[in-house]
Amino acid sequence: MNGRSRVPAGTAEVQPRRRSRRDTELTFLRLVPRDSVVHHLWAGTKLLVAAVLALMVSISPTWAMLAVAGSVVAFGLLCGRIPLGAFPRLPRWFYYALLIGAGLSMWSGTHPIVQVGPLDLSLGGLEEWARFTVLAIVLIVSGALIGWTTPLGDVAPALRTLFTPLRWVRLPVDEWVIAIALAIRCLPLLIDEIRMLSAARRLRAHEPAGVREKPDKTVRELIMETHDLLATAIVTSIRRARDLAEAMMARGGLGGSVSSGRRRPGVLDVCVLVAAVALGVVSLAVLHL
Amino acid sequence: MAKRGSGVSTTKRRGPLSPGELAEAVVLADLSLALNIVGHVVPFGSVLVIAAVVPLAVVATRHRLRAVIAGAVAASVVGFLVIGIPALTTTTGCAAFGALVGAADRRGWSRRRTIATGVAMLWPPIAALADLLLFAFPNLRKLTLDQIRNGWHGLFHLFQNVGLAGVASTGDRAVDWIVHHWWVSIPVGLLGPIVLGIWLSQGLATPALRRVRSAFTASVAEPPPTDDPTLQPQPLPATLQHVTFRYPDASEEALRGVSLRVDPSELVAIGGRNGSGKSTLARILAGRHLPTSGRVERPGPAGLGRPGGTALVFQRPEAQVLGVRVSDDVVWGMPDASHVDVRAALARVGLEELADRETATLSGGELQRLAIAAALVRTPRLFVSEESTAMVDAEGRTRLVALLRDLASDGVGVVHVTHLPNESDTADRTVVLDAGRIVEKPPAPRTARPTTAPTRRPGLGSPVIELRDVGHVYSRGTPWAKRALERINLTIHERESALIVGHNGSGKSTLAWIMGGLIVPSEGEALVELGHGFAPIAGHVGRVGVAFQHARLQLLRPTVLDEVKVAAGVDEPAARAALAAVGLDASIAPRRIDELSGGQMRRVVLAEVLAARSRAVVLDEPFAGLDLEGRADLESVLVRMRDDLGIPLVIVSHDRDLPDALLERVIELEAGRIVRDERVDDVEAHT
Repeated sequence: MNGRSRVPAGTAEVQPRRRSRRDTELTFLRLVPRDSVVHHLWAGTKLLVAAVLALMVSISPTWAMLAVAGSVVAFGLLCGRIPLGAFPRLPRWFYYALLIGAGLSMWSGTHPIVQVGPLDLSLGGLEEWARFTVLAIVLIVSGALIGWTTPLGDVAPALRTLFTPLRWVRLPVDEWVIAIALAIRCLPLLIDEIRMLSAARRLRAHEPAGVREKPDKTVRELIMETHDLLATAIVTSIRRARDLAEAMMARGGLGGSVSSGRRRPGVLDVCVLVAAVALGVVSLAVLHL
Repeated sequence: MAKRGSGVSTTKRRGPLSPGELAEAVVLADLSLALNIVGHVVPFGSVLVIAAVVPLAVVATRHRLRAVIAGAVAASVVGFLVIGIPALTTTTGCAAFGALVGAADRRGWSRRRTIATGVAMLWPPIAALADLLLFAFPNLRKLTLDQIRNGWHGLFHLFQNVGLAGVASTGDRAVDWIVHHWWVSIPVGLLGPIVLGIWLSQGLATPALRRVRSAFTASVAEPPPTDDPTLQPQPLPATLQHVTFRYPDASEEALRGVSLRVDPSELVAIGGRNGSGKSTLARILAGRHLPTSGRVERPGPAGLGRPGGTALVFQRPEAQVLGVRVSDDVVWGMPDASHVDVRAALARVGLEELADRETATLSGGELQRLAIAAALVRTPRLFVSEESTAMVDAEGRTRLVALLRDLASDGVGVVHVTHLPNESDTADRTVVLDAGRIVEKPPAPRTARPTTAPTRRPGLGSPVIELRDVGHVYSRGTPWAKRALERINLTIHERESALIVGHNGSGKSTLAWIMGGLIVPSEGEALVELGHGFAPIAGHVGRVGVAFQHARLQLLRPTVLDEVKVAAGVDEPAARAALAAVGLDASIAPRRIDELSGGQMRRVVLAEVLAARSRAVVLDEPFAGLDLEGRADLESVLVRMRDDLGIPLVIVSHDRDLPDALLERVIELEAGRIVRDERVDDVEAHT
């Protein structure tokens, strides 16, 4: 990802004929390089605020509460100066699925119902569908905002602090923090690996004569191919893991730090957290009770 | 039950995870997550979600439940950052199914028994959790259940319109009942997916687990023999006496009776061809392995990775990076990160500008210098470089060797493993290994180098690949938009070998993928001649073969012969002929892919290119990591492909370090543009 790897990105969805179409791309987990207040917040603060927002809309999934939570997220997007282009382009089938959902709920017979010519359209059903969709969007964007504004290296040390309560019940938090840091480090490598595998699959089994009339594969062949790809991915991953284990041993094993961790919660973080909790309590008191 | 887990470390461990366990858990959990992510952005991705169970099942067969949990926690957190809350449920589900399928595999359970056990173990907690969440958030529950009800009512309404009124009214009543009794219906409804999920994931996992088991007969990487952490490390002077070493499950000794002494302030080079035991010797010196017999004497513990102890730097640059950012990597594993002078260590290796960069953006040479910086903050007394220069370009190599020299003059004992004679020359003394023994003189190469053919070759043939005004931009229209290529015009002919050279980020990998038809360029045309005219390469993927540097990823079938047959779509005689044409012995045909060396894997890929009669082949760093013999073998194959069969070779590399016979045309890329395109005679005249 980030165009920083050896393997070119965005190769899985090559479509020769529809070149003008924008590729579906994964744009989460990429830092939008800006110098903003949101970027300077401690990673833990952002995670906690996102958790508060999720709690608010889960307890009271009303339009009013969604407006409050949505405004916080929008404010974060504005402060972090996240451009529209950062939002992922979802594949077309996703929008079709959403439309089908909307269509079905309009037929559901939930009150209120309006008559449009011969049709009874359920505004109630449509309203509930819209509310549910907006709720999902607010939750997803609040999570994405963290990824867009937080250097990935800051996540693991922040979690080390946030997981402190788990330490009291003797859960292996330090082990998990190392695992999280390594998982963040390795995920781009594995996504590259899947791209490479998919490229390798496409390079195979064309007709030797040169005409690319690929015969329809039988189910059996498809299953065999799935097994091949999966087994290869796992074998290469285990090899990678062995290199990683050697590298860890060369650094003295798992006892030490995983990040230079210069960022710590500051005054601003405390203010933001207090404000978020206050907002949560007040809005629940006013809108829910 | 049959002992199916054979080959895997069977000793019951307790306590914290070892580096080997943690690394496998994390990488496989990451693989599972990557499959999940892809599954969320492609239609019919649910197949991939089932496949995502398999990597975690592998963790469960090979390691303790504790490792599965650590992997699941890591994947959930990272997944949450990528795709939000859905990642938490899918990852937890995959981990639970994986643990079950893994346990079933270890114990040899039948499908039915696995499902019964799975339902008994997994369903109650999942059902309880679902009910608990629905109970805790009544409003969200209502909204969610209303969605279900509205959707079904809408569907039944459509039924009514097409005259199925009976179905519709029954359906409506059923849905109302289900929604009303959610605390029963939701858990019962979960039962079906659980049974189906277990059934499918076990079906998919069992063959994969079998193959993984046969690929890794050796047990997982054990942590180094513990040396007493209370003792101050004192690795030097180290004396080896008649040291012999045999890897577990290996049929031969890697080292036989080696005696050696290493003192402070000296630079010792260890030479020898691949498989001569030089890496093993380095690891024994570093305290990573204990000798099978013989003695290693040191004043104190080797203290691998500990401050004041031994540092070990490996061959593959990207494989030893542990930190997300450069500064994270420097302090990784240090007891106290706050007291480390990261800047000073980076300045020493010339990377002071890059402290905040993500490690994934660094070049191979920079990564190796980073590894040295991470070693330097530990002020090691012994520094062991295990072929750390092998995958780096010429300029990077010179810098690294100079750094090693500096270390030795500062009083550190330096051991540098290398197969390059000119690097041994800079050392204070050189130890050469052959077949596990120290020898006086370097052994003569097994095969003579192919004649460097001064004979004039026949001229170039007709064009095969044509790029017309090709340009490419990644992530167009996003904040991460990045131009990789601009206005590339290039023609590759029959019987031509072209080297495309450039630094990291020059666009050479993108160009290689465009030439293989794996990327459609966002501007211009990339065409291949198919005997009846030119056509876009992307419409005929495979007509231009591509050989990755990491060849293992292209070899998907379990055995060599099967692999060539399936990959090229040919019968057995054709596959055997192709293997012979790339100089692979007939005895290699039935062997398993994972028994091959890196150089042999690359030649199998070339055999597939030949068998499939590809029009041209693009090779990414074909010579990286090969020793002199491996290079010579590959060189002769490539020369034959080009000269006898006329297949054009496009070699992509970060340096010009190619055998003379292949160095014919050099195309230099810089920031996505061709800055030089010359025949070698002209280049020679230039420099």
